[in-house]
Amino acid sequence: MSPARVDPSEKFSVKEYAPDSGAEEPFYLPLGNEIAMFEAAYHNRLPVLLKGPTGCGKTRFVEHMTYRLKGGLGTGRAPGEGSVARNLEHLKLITVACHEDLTATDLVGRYLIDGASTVWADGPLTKAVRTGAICYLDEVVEARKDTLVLIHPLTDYRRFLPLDKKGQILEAHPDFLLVISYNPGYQSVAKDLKQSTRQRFVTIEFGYPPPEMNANIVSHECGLPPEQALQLALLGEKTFHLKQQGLEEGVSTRLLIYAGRLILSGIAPRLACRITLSASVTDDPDMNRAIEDLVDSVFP
Amino acid sequence: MEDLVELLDEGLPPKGRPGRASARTRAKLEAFRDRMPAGLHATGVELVRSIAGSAPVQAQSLLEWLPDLARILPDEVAEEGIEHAVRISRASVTASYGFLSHLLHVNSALGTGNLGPWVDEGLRLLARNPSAGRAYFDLHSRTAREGLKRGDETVHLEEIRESLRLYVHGISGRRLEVQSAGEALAGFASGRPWLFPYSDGRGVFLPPAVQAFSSHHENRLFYRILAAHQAGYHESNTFGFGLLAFLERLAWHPVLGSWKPELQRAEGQDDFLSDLQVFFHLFPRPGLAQRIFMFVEDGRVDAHLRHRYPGLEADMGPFVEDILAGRPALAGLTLGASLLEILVRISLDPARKAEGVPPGLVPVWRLVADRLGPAFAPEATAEDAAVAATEIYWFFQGMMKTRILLAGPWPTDQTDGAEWEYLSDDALANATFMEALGAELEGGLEDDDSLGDLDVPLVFRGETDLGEVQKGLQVAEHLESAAADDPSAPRQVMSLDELKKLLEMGVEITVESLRDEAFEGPGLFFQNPSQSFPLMPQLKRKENDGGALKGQMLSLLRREHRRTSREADATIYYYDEWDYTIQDYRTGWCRLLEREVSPDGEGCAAQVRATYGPLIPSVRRQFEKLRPEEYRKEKSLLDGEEIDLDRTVEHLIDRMSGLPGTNRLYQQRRKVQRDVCTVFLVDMSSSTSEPVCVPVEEEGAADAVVAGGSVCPEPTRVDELSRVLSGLRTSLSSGVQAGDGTAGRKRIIDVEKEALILLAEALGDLGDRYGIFGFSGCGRNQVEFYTIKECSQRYTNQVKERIGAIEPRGSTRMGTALRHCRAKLGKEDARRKNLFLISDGFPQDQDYGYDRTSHEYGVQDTAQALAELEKDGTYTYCITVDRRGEDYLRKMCPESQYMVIHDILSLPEVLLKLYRKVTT
Repeated sequence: MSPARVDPSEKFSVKEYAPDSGAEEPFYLPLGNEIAMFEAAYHNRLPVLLKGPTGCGKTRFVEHMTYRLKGGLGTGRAPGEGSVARNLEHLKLITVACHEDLTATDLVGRYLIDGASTVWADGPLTKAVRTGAICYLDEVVEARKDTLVLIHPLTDYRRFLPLDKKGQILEAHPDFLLVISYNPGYQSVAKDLKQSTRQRFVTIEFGYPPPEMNANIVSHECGLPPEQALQLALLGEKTFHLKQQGLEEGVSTRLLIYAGRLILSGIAPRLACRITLSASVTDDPDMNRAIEDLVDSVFP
Repeated sequence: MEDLVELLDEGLPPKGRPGRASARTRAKLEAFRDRMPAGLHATGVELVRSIAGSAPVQAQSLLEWLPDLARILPDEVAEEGIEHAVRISRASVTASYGFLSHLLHVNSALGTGNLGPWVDEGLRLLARNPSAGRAYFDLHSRTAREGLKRGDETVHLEEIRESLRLYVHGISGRRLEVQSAGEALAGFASGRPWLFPYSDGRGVFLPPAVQAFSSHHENRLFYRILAAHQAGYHESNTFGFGLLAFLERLAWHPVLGSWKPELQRAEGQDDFLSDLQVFFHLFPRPGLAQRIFMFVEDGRVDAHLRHRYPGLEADMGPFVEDILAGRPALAGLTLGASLLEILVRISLDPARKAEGVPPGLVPVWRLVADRLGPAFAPEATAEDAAVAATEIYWFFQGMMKTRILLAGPWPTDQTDGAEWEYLSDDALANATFMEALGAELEGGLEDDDSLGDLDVPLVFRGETDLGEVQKGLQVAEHLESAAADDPSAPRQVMSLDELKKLLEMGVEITVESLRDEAFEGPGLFFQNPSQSFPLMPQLKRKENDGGALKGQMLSLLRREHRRTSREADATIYYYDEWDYTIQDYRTGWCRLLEREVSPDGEGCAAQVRATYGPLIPSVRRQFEKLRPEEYRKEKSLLDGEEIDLDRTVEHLIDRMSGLPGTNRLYQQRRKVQRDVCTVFLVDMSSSTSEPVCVPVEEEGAADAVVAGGSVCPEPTRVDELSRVLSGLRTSLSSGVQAGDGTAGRKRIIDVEKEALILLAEALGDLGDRYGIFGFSGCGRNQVEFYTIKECSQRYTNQVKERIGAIEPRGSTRMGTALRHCRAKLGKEDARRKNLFLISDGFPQDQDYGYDRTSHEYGVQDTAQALAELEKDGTYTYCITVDRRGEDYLRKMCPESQYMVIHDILSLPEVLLKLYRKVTT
C-alpha cells in the first residue's frame, strides 16, 4: 500500500447518503442510561455496537444521538478527559443497510468507467470517514466477511481506512464514528460476529421496552390515545411469549406503531392489528391464528 | 369377574343376601341401580351384562360412569345411545365401550336424531373390517371424524389444537400443552371418559369438540374462552398464592384478626401440601372452604381477564348471559345451596343487580357482593380472593350454625359484633329474614352434601384442582433450586405439625415467626408426620444431620415431581399414524415427547479420538475437499466490484473504432455454497444394548459387510477417501478385541455413537447443516424423541457430551419419529434435504399394531412415513445392522435406499461414505 495519505479536510457532499431530514428531533424514549453511554463513547471516539432485536429502536437511537450530538438538545455531558471538544453542528449520519451481497467495494468505493477514462467513486463508508460523519452499518453480520475485516483498522487506535484500489490510506476525520448493529436472535451460526470484530466495540444492548413504555412510544409516534396504546403494548408483550414457539421475534414496537397509525386512520382495531401484526410476523397458519386470537381478545 | 355376571343374571339380589360376589362389586352395582334413571335401568343392565362377558374391566368402569352419562344426556338420547351400544356390543364389545365413551361428543357433533346413520355406517365397517370398525367407534380414524364433520359448525380440538396452544402460551407466558379432555392419559383421568376443561399445571385439557352453538365462529370462540380461563390462572398468578402473605393479611383484618385457624389433619394425603391446600385445611370444613375459594378465585380470574382483555370481555358476555339464564331459581334451593348459588352468580357477573332474588336473600346478596368487591378489583391477588373467601366462609358458616348473622364461630368475647364492618344497616334491618329461613337451616351445608347443579362445574370454568396444580409447580420449583446448587435448597419446607404449633400461638405471631425463619414467598409444607423433619433453621445449624435430611427430602421431592410432572421438560407433539388394517390414518394417534439429551456423556468423544487417533484429521481433510471454491468470478456484468479489464479493453477499442461498445464492464465474485441439510435419526431402543459380535471374515470387510439392496458406494473405485475410511474399521475392530474384560464389550449403541462422533468430526469445517436425533418409545402416548444436535446448532463440546450420553431405552416406534423429523426438515431452508435412519431392527412397540407377533403394522407405518418424507423431496436412506433387515426393509423403501450391514464395526465407514455420496 502506498503511503500516500489523503487530506480529510477536503470537502465532500454526503447528501446522497444522509438526506437532511430537517431540524426536528427524532423521538427516542431512553430505557436506561444508553444516551449517556453513547455520548461517552462518542466523546472518546469508541466504536459502538448496538445489539438487539428488530424494531426495538436501534436505528432511531442512532438518529436521535446524532441529533443530540449536533447540539440539538445540548450534549448534556462534558467531553471526558483526553477527548476532543469540537463543534459538531454539521455532524451527519450515514446509514448503510447491510445485505449478503454487500462487498467491501460497495462500502469503500470503486473505479467507474466514464467514457475513455475511469473515475473513482467513494462508497458510503469512505464518505463518512472523509467528512467526519457517523457511519451506521445496520445488520452488519449480513454483509460478507471481507467487509468486516475492512472496518478493523477503523475501529482501533489507527482510525484509518485502506483504499486498496487507490493505493491510499484514508485517515479518519476527527468527528467520524463507526456504529454497527447486530441482532443476535435469528442469525444463523454461520453469521455470527467474530470475536476479533466484537472486541473492538463498546456494546449497548437493546431490548423491547416494557409495556407501559412501549405504550408511551406508540402513543407519541402515532398519536393514539394512551389507553389504546397500552392495549397495543399489551398485545406486543403477549406475542413475546410466543418467541421460541415458532415465532422468530415478538411484534416489534415499529409494527405496533403501524397498527396505531392504521387505527387512527379509521381502520377497525382488530383488522388493523391483523394486517400489521399477525400477517407480518409469521406465515405459519397456526401461529397466525393464535396471534389473531390474541388480537381479538385484546380488542373488542 | 364371574361374580358381576352372576349378580346381573340374578337380577341384583336384595341387600344382605349372601352370594359369591365381592362386597365391592355388590356396592357398585347397588350404586348403579340407585343412580341410573329408572327408565334406563333395564337396558343399562343388559348393556353391562353383554360387555361384562368379554371385557370385565370395562364393565366395572361402565358401572361407575354410565349413570352419570345417562343423567347428563337428554333422556331420549341416552335411551337411543344405550340401545345402539347394545347393538354394537353384539359385534364388538370394545367398539361398544368406545362408542359410549364418545357418545356425549358424537351426539353433540351430529345433533339429536342423527345418531342412527352414523352408527349404521360404523356397524357396516365393523362387519367388513373389525379393526377399522373399532377405530371408527373409538373416533380414532379419519373416516369417523370426517363423518362427524357433517355439521360445518362443529369445531374439533384437533383442528385448532396448535393455534390454541400458542394462544394459551401467549396469554399465560408458559408452555402449556393443549390436550383433549376425553383422551386424557390413563392415570390422570378421573375415570369419566368425558371431562370438563381443566388444567394440571402442564397442560390445558379441553373437550374434543364443541358444537353447542349454531355457528363455527361461535364454537371456536367458545374454545377460546375455555382456553383463556385456564391460561388466566397463570396470568393472574393464582398459583403464586402464599400462605404467609395470606396470614399477614389475616393478622391485620379488623374481624378475622382474632380468628385462630386450626390446621386440620388431612388423612390419606400425599407427602406434600401446597400453600393453597394448607389454606383449605385451616378451616373446619376444608371441602367447603375449597369450594368457596374456587368460586371466588374463578371470579377473580374472569374479572382480571375482562379488565385486561376488552375483546374477550365482549366475547364472553353472551356466554355468561346464557349460563346465568340457565342457573336454577334461588327460591327452590336449600339455604346452603342458595348461598353458594348467590356466590356463583355474583362471580359470573359482579355488576349484576340482585334481580329475581327472593327478598329475604337480597341483603345476603349485597353482603357477598360487597365482600367480593376487593377480590374482583383489577389489581387483586389470590390472597385477596382468599381473604374474601374466608369472610364468606365464616359468614355462611355463621348463618348456618347459629341462625344469627351477628355471631361468629370464634370466641365472642374477643370480637364485638359491632366490629363486623360488613354488617350493613340493611342486613341488620332485615334480621328477621333469618328467622324466615330458619326452618331450612337444619339441613346445613356439609362437605358431602349433594348440591344439585353446584356439583357440576361451570362449563367454561371447568374443574381445575388449584391446590394440586400449585403443588406440582412448587415441587418443580423446589427441585429446580436444588438442581441449581442452591445451598439452602430445598428451602421453605416445614412440617404441618410445626405450622400447627405456630398457628396455635395466633396468626400475628405465626407471621412474625415465619418471617424470622426466612420462610418467604410460597412454600411447601411437609405433611406426613411420621417423616416429619425439623424446621429448616435447625437444619442449617447442624450441617451434618442436615445433609442426610436434605437428601431424604430431595428424594421425596423427586418422587413427587415424577408423579406430578413426568413430562415437564419435554415438548409435546401429536402425529397421525397409518394403520394398514383400516387403510386409514389414525388422527393425532401418537404423542411424541421431544427433549434434549442432557450433556453428561463426557469422555466418549475423547475415547473416540483415542481409538481412531490420527485417522480423524485425514478423514476431515477428505471431507473438506467436498467444499466448493468459496467464490466464483462472474465477468461481463453491468455492475460489480471490479472493472473487467478484458471487456474494458474491448470496449475502448470498439469505441475508438466508432462502434457502440458494451456497458458490461464489471466483474464480481459470487459466493458459492453447499446447500445441504441432513438429519441423522438414531434408533435408541433397548435392543441396541446388545454386544457387538465381530464377524469371522475379517478380510475385505468393506465389501463383505454390505448386503441388501444397496451397493456400498463406490466399492470398486478405491479412492483416497475409501482408503482412509477403511482404516476406521481396522482401528475399531482392534479396539473391540483389545478391550479387556473389565472395560466390557462394545454394544451396538456404542458403535452408533462412535459413528456419529466421527461423522461430526469429519463434517467439522464443511459448513453443511446436519442434525442428530434419537428416538425410542413406550407405547403411542410416550414416543420419546431426543435432540442431540439441532440442524442449526454448532458441533460443540456439549453436543459431543450429548452423543456420549445416548443410552438404549424403550422400543422402536419409527413412523412417529420420522414424521417429527419431517416437521423439522420442513422448517429448514435447503436445496437438498436428506434423512439417514440408523437402526438395529424392525419397527416395534407395545401397541404398534394389534398383533404383537406381527411387525407388519410397524413396517407399513414406517413405509408410509418414509413415503411422506419423499413426497416432500427429502432423500431418505435406511441403514440397519440387523442381519434380517433385508426382509422388512424391502417393504419399507426402494432397493437403492437401504443397506443392511452385517458387520456393525463398519458402520462409521459406511456412514461417512454414504454421506459423501448422497450429498455430492
